[in-house]
Amino acid sequence: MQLRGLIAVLLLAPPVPALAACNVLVSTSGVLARTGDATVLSSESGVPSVIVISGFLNPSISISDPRLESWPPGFDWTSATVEASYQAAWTLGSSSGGYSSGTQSFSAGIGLAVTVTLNNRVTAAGGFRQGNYTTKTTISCS
Amino acid sequence: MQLKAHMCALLFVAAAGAATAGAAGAQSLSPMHNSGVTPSDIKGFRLSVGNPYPRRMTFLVLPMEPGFKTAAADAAVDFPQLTLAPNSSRQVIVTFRIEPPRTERTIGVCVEPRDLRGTVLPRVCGTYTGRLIGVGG
Amino acid sequence: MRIAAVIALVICAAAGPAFASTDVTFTGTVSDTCTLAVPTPGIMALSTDGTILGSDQTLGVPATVTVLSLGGNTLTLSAPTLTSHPPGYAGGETVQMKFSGLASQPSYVSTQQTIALGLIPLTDLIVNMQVVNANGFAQGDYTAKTVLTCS
Repeated sequence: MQLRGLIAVLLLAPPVPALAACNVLVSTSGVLARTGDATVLSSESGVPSVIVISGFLNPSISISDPRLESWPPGFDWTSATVEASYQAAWTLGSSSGGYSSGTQSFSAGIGLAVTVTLNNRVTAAGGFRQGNYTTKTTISCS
Repeated sequence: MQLKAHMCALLFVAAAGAATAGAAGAQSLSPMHNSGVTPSDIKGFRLSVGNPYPRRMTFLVLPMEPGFKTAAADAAVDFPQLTLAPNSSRQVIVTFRIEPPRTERTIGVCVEPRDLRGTVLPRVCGTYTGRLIGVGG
Repeated sequence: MRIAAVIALVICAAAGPAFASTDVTFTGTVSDTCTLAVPTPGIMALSTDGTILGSDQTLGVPATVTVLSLGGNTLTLSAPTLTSHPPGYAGGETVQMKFSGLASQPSYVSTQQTIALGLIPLTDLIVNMQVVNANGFAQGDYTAKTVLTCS
């Protein structure tokens, strides 16, 4: 009877996260810089972002929605294209994806952590006005 | 007589030209525009002067009024004369005073080669604005 | 043992999915830059009738300016002037310039010229200069100049 009661309580209780929750930590923020092509800003010429994902077995990781968040006045943001590329590594495995403005996904194998090197690139045929630019890309794991 | 004078003039011009032939100059300046606030009546900016070509060059760094025609008063550069190796750059600091009752001042800074002869004198000039803190946006 | 296994099974069944998401930020600062180079300074030579010193005369050489512009810069060529001449020269000249390449001013002018630059890769501007004086030129060295400013 006690056991049935305990099971009933547990089944009726709200769900709790798995003990190994997925943690996404941005270890290094990215820096965009001019490339040899004056129509492209890229973190490959600046500093790529490094993200560490841990706490999950066989996570499914997606990189999505690279976008321009801020730009200086007068810049024609409607003509700009933002893309992301990645290289990921974990114990006994790796994955990579070229520049894309869409969603890229991969599954990592068993390991303590997945290290993702993420690059952003902005292309604007008319070039860039003087000022500060910010891009963002969403990285998710489940 | 007239022809001889003309020929002599031609030879002199050609000689002067030969003496200058082969000289070349190049420079860059970055950023070309900047603005910022200051808590005192002195504002400074850090600029990068570059020599992007494969020749050692000496440049003059000159604080100017915004029209780039006259020298700016109460303004100074820490290195008014720079010698740069090929494909190298160096940072300089330009400072200028914002005299009351003014609360904002814009100066120009021009970079030009010191020893370039010929029919074109190239200059790269930028404008830099200082504002007293608490004034303007 | 069986009780512990059942409890573990129930806990696992009751657990929800794990999910984490974050935005990764990239920042950058773009500065306007203008680079000028003068690989060929320009040489003036005397015309056969002795009234024009010009870079497009025989033995003259036009100046070549290489321009690289990253940003909304402006190129200004000041009104050309005679900056040096030999003693005994009486004056009365007209100094003129024309240019081609990056921008075009096909006929000689004496006034300041302005060229709007945008994103310009390495591009040449060819500048010709002439000093015209119907009374001719005294023997000696002459220098005419325009100040080319990128701002």
